[in-house]
Amino acid sequence: MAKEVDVYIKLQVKGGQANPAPPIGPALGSKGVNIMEFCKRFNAATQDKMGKILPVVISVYKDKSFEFVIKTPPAAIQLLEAAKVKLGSAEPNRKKVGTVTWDQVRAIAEDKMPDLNCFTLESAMKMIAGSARSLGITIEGDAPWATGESSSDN
Amino acid sequence: MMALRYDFILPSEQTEILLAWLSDLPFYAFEEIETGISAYMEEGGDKADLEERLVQLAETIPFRLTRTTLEEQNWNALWESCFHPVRVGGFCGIRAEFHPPFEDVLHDLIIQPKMAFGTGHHETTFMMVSLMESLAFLGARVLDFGCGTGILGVLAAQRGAAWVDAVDIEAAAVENTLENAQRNGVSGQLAVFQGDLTAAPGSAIYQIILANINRNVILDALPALKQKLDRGGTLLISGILSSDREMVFTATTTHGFQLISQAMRGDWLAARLERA
Repeated sequence: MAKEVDVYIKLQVKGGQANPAPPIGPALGSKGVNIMEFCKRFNAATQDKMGKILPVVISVYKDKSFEFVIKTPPAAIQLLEAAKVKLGSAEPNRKKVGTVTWDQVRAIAEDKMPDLNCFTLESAMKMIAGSARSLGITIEGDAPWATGESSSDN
Repeated sequence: MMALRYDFILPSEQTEILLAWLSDLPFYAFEEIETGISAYMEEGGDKADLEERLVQLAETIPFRLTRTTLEEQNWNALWESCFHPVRVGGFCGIRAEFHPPFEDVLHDLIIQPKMAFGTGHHETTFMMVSLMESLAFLGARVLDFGCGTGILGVLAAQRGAAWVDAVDIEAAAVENTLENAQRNGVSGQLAVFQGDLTAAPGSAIYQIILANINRNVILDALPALKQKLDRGGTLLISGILSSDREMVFTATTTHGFQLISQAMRGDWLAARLERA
């Protein structure tokens, strides 16, 4: 029989940096979960993505056991990485902070599709393009749909 | 560890953009809240750069900000109050004070972990304890590197080690190791230092080093561990995923360690190595 989930905990934790302080400590501790075991497992699972912000969804079961799923970094962070923006020195929105290609936008859209509530790849790409604009990142060239037939979804 | 929480209040469609810009600042975790985003960092250190960056960010992504210091607390108390004792064969039992003693094990350890790692519940601690059964501790000088609760150092002392040095970067672990050493009657054989490997007494040479940490820390420390280990001395390692086995053993061989035995449990690996 499948175990009964007590609660889902959604956090964004830097790779290799889970620790028993808040927010992880109180979130797991209040459910009677062994916090240190989560930290050890999360840090090992993310040892090749040290310092990167990773969304994690922890399922805590009624029997105080847990499982977790680590997702890829948020789209905005992937955009900054794709544009090779040096975070410390960039001035957000002030000016163009970098450029990406539509292929890169497509790759990020494909990666984040499951989290974006978009029905088509094109609408996901438009959403990612919107994030790029908000970050001050220019997208090189014409949008794939601008050169051909464009659909009317958002 | 004391933590600081920064609550950024802003429209939800802006949270991901702000999160991206915050990603290189010294926050270790974020949580989306109804009104925006909470970011967490360790208390202490110079925050001048951080505050300057936040002022810059607020000019382009308007947000309201509140800062809260979060008192240190034993968040693990609930688990600690009802955990099950662990038995490693007839060699060692690990339990809380409220459990009845193990009558039929060589070492009956009482560990109250608080916010430190190492109770035997995790596969890595279990394997380290298990591998310690066949080591000759009598009269040895031992280093417990990344001691957590101090469980391995305490066990080494009970096995007859002449002296145990324990190090951990976390203040909570240092304190907890001292408490557990006292609980198990070995505080006269053990000293604890806060920091990385350099916190251990510089001139000390060990016959046995115990390191249950993680792959990256262990690989980085291999040259220093070799220097601190006697010729023919034993290094026990864990905290390593089985999938990293080849990479780790290639590195240990390169640094002059010979693989004596290995164990696997769940996704995890532990190994006994000897310095050539």
